[in-house]
Amino acid sequence: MALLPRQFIASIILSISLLVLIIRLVQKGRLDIAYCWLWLFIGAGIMLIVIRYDWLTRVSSLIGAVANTTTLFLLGFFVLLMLCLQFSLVISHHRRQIKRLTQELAVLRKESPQENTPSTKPAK
Amino acid sequence: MSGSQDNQVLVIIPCFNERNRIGNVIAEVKFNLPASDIVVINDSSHDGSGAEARTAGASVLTHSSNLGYGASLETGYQYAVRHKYNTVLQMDADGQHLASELPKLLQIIRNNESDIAIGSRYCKNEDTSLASPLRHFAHKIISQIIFIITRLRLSDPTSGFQALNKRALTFFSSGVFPCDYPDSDVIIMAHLAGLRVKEVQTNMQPRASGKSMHSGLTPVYYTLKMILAMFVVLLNLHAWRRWRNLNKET
Repeated sequence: MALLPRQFIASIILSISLLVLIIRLVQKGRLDIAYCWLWLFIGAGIMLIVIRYDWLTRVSSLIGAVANTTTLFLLGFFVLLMLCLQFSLVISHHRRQIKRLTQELAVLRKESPQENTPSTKPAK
Repeated sequence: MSGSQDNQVLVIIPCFNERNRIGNVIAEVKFNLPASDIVVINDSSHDGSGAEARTAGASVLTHSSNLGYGASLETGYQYAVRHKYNTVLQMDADGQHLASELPKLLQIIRNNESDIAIGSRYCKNEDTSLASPLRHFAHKIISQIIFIITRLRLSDPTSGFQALNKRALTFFSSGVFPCDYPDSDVIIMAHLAGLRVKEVQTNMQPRASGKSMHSGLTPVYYTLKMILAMFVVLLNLHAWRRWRNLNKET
């Protein structure tokens, strides 16, 4: 089973568009290089599946899927889960950094000369 | 304000929107522990609590955004370490914790009976009138889990009315403090790290007004959160043991 010419062209256009979009976002500085790898991997993966559709058929028979679409849905679902996990990791990391910064700022603000003017200086 | 002298005590009061209460709490602390310093961690209150605390004579550290109770406590610990305080007392800003009971907690630390002293409202008389039945049930479950893990019988594991000595303060300010769920898991963590925990009976007042952190169905959510947090603490057992071995009491 192979892709129809129209399906092939549409899929190639989609995957190339995705890759171009990612590269443009990195180029403009709107997407950090650190977080672009997974997206590049997804774009390249889509292109690979389109070019080597027979590989998808082999994977389907390997995992016991009747139709290739099942394998595609499974792969798509797994990739989205991985993306969510990556986002959670990044958010957790940022949250820790924000907390640390806020705490440091609170302490430093207290120690700044402006804060310790006579009118605001605390007594015991 | 600095804790450079020996035996200097810092009272940490995390505060979020406690106007008309925080001022009285500070006045009570100053009356009962005149030699202590007071720091209020204003967790981005928008009702003027920070100004009220400052007027009442406390030092105020203001978070630029709301970080929660745990992070506020941690800010207080970091401040205490930075200013070389030997003993820290922590209490809530809503007036439930009585400042008149602070000397009792402080005495436990000064007598070196424990590294952490926890003020319990149920210790002797099992007075449950201050808590909802659901909250009391949650306490029972958490207490039982703590007992299984640590063999410590604690009647009020959620109490934030505590005193810490320098050793406990060093531990909690070393980046291990669980800011998301700073409660019973802290007790387990401290015990596994070799810190001595003691509970002492203290009187508390019912909350006069405002919204409690443990009202409504929150105890159910709290219990589930706590079980997860305690599980995570157990997963890091090696880290607590390493800290215990590195910081053995001389």
